[in-house]
Amino acid sequence: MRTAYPIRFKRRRTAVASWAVCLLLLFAGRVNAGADNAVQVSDAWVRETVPGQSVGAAYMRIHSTQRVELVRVHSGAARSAEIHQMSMENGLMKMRELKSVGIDAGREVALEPGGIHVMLVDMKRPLRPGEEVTLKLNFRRPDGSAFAMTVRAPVKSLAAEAAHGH
Amino acid sequence: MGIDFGRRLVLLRIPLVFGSAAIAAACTEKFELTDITGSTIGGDFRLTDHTGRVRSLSDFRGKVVAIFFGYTHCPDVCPTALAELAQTVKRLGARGDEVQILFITVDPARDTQKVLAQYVPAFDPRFLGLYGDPATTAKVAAAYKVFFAPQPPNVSGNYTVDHSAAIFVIDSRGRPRLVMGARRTVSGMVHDIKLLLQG
Repeated sequence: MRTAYPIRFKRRRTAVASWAVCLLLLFAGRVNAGADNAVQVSDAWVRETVPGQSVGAAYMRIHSTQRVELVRVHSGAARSAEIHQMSMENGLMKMRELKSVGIDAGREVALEPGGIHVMLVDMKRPLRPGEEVTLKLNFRRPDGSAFAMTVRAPVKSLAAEAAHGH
Repeated sequence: MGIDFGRRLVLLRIPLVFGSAAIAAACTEKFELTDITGSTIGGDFRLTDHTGRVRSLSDFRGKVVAIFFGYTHCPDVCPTALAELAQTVKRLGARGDEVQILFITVDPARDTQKVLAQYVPAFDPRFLGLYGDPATTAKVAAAYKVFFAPQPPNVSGNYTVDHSAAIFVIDSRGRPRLVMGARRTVSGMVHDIKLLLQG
């Protein structure tokens, strides 16, 4: 009998939790119909590129209060943009295109050097420090609905990155 | 990187390392990066530079040579490595002229002489970009134990190339001396290259 109470309590908590989830989902559905406040993008930046370099890399931190997926990126600075995952295995650098980047509710995903980046493909011209690149991020919610947001990413100097990082 | 790569090299040469370490301890300071003194990695090659001139490793005898294999359609590791090398050479001051940085492309299909001529000197005008036909590229990479593998293109025709991202350092007498892997720092590279310049 000693365990009866905790079990009942646990069940009640579970029931309350599932109602809360239902309500949240309903509420979330309503919020999602409008502009999206769930996603916050911070520290967006693009690495300086040199002449002859037709691809660039953009990084940022994406926080979301709801589960979303970053599915596509567009930029005025490039013909197209792809999401890539870089990895180092035994000194071997690999880059693979990702279909999407999932961000779980309440989590933050960092797109950073050595990890995930947005690859700007066929850039129109080299990106110089001090300039800014506009990135349009397209997200998808679990219910299939979509929304987009635009971020401005300053161009960071390669020399400064080499001197500080690494 | 290259801890593993480095370790493997070191393990292969334990007796040699002990020998050279004893001499090194007796007369010189230690390298911060992976010491490959005594290994047979690398060797001479014939590739074309970004000005169209045929180059061999032996052309740079008298200089410390740092070689990085990469490709220009690589937005993360490659420009960062070249920027680090540019910083390293800059921090060496006047002695930076005694160092030759070579960027060997593993993607000669896209990294033509024209592309390399824009890309490589943008990091430092003293840097040289080198390219060869696919067979020569494969031969040179194999000599340096550099693995590379172009991946299938995506729908828009873009493709990536898996490649070893280490920097190899050859001393002024043409002997392989260091492998600088992912744990390299600009200060570590400056330190080690200075030691090599002192002979």
